Amino acid sequence: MQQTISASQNNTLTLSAAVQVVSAIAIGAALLFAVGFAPMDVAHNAAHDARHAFAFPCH
Amino acid sequence: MILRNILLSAIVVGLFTGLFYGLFQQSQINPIIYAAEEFEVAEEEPVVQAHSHGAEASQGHHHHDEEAWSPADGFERIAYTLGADIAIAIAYAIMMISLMAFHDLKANNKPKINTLQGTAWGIVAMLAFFVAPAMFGLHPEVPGTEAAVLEGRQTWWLICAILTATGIAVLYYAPMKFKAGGIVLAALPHLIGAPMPEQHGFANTDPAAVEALTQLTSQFYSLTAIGMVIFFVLLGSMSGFVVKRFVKLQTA
Repeated sequence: MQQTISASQNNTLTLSAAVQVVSAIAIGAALLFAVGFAPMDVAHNAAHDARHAFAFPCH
Repeated sequence: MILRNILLSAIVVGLFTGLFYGLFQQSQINPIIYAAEEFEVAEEEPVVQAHSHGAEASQGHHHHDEEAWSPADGFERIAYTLGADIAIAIAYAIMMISLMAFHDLKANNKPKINTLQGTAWGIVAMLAFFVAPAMFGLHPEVPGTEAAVLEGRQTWWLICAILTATGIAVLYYAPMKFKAGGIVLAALPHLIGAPMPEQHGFANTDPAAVEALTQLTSQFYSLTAIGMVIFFVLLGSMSGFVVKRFVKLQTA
């Protein structure tokens, strides 16, 4: 069962293991970017000390 | 469902490691950041005036919008920092646990993930996300350090981290004849070179401030390095543990 998407008999949507794992990686990367690298001033100010402490580039 | 198990496991691991690192940061690192900021504030306006010609673009100073919200010093700032630490830790945990699950799914000729394997993964993650981009590239810096334009440094940092991680993965997984490619990938960002400021130093040029900031920088550097070792070893070992226990691929 390596199809990307297959609807099983009881109508629940199932995704292949690989697709789920790749989706999870994308979610993690998006979260890391939002907290650690997002350019908006508000995001930068809120996470400022954390960005410094993880040695992310900051001003 | 694997996705749900990965996310739930990562939230638990991230909450724990992020909180732990946040408390370490609050007691060991933040006093240095606060101390460095004492010198930063005094200098902000004259600097912009003095090098008005292209200074903003070349020196990477933020155009701090005076209106932009920022957490108030004290409890609010500490709470946001802890929250951000936890969010970053969850993000790292999601990626690490996912990649571990992918390893268990695809790499049939390698040992399955457990706590010990996870510890090794944590050390590799530290190489990719701290040692290569920060220690070998853009050094951990206190506020008020002169640096190249922020966007360039962020791009270089991310490319360096991704290439280092990919390079180590190639070294580990690829057949013998392709392994050298991993070294090339990891070396590439350093051959290109991290974006550096035209002159090193601090925004505050008062000799006493420079001396204090130099000292704070070296303290900051060692304490982030110690903190990152603790953080990534905890993150890796816990991720290895939860992958073995809770991320069941065969039921997918």
